Amino acid sequence: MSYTPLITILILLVIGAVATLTLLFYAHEQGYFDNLKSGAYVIFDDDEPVGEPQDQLFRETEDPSDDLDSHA
Amino acid sequence: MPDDPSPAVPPDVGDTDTDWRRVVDASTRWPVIAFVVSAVFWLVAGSLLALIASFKFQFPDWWTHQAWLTFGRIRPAHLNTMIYGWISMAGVGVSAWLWARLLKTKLRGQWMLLLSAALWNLGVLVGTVGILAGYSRAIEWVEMPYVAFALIVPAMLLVVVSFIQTLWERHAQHLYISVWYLGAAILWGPFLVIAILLPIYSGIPEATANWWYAHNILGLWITPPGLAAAYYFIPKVIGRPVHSYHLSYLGFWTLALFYNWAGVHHLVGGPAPQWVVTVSIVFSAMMIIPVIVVAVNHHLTVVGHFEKLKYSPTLRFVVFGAMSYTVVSLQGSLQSFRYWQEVTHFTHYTIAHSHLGVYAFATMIAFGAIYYILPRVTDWEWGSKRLVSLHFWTTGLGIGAYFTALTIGGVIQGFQLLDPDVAFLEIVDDTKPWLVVRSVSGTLMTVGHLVFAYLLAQIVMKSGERPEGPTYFHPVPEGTFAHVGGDGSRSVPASSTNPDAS
Repeated sequence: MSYTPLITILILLVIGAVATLTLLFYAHEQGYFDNLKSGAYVIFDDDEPVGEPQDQLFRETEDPSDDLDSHA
Repeated sequence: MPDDPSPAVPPDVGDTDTDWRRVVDASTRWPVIAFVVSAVFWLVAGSLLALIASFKFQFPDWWTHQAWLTFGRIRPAHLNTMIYGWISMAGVGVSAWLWARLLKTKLRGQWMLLLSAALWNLGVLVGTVGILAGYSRAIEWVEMPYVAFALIVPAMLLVVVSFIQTLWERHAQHLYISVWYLGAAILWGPFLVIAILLPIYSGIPEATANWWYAHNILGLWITPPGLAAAYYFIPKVIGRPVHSYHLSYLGFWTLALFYNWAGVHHLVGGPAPQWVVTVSIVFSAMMIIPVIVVAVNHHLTVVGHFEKLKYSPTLRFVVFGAMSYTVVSLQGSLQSFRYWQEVTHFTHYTIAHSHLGVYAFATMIAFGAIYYILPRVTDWEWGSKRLVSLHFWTTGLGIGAYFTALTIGGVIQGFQLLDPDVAFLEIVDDTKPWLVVRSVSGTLMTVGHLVFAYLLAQIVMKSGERPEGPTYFHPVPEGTFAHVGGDGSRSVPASSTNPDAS
């Protein structure tokens, strides 16, 4: 029975684990994991802020007092 | 993470915060319209093929004299038009808009995407005609002849180039979780298709590769854009960030690591080496992790805001799809176990499951995303809230009835198949009522698709009078959706959140 395939797989696993841990360590040192939560806010800004549901068409209107009752 | 030195508004789009989205949306207009319109064409075509296939179970002697109308050709034609025509092209259209918005820059490679849409359509047309003409390759999920993929693979690669170009020119420093899913899908998709088309398989390895491919094209090509859309539209429409952004990273990487191994659970009980099957079952069970992560994130983001589903088409379709993702994925993990498959393999249960995934999850999310995107790229609105509502109820009830009937019928069928005292024709007779429900629910869904196609034609052609506001299902109570004027005026005070926003 040949142990070559098993050894090959184990070596590849070790190499993969080392590469992954190296990458994660580098990312950690660069500060990529310091403030993960902030990423959730990148889809909001002053124009479409947190707390304001966004499902309306963003369009220019000459009348700033749009009647919401006219919406379908 | 270092502070973002770049300006909040990229220099290549408008001068004000309010302009940049419209400039970005305008840059996506023609590619998005090309892919979405094409996708809906194939949705309707695939639906008609599905109805023919389904009605043949009630009328088995119907249209049997024409070879191209027999079940053995109609059914794979339906499957391929839906996978490569409808959901793939809808996914690309939605993805192109999403990555332009999330990378906060104009879409690059627009002409490449238009060329891609043309090649893709030609490929699906050639493939569908090829199957109906009898040139099916008889490998499930890859039945189209090679010449069709000779058009579709370059089309996919053009999409990759457009994505990479846009990514390269991005003005957003942080890659939102949706960008990870989209980028991964864009790279995985062509790799999968090329891998399965290689002429190196035969016999049992071919079957193993077949189901490695078919399962992965669902989980690594169709699923990620659906999750990307859900991760964007649910928080965006509701107005609150994803419940746990930490968990979203875990969800992405566990999907990427575990999904690839699970495909051979389609061959449980078959002649594939048992260790290969066991590995696939283990990783199918491991898939519970990313599925629970996504479910927790989406559910806890929506909780407290369920009343908005009454008004918002986007939210209603996307939440329906997101919930279906949880159900179909947990179901998939459970049904990979040998004791479960003993009953359900080779029955209608499997068909119910696959439609729960591709339709109830991916298709419904695609509908919701299109309802959000099209007004923004056409600068128009959906023409009729009643038709939008009809679309939702026909498709929602349709897939609900479809799944329920075939699941129950499939389980009964499975137990009967395991009982040597039950004659085969008796089993066939017992499946008939469930197949009638399938035809009825399929008809319902097709009605919904025709309604959606009509609505799409209206908004793309900008027919009728310019709508005054967004199309909601019901009149919205004051304050539910705060008004934001096109000039940035607002009825609630602005608050500074994050300059790097999309």
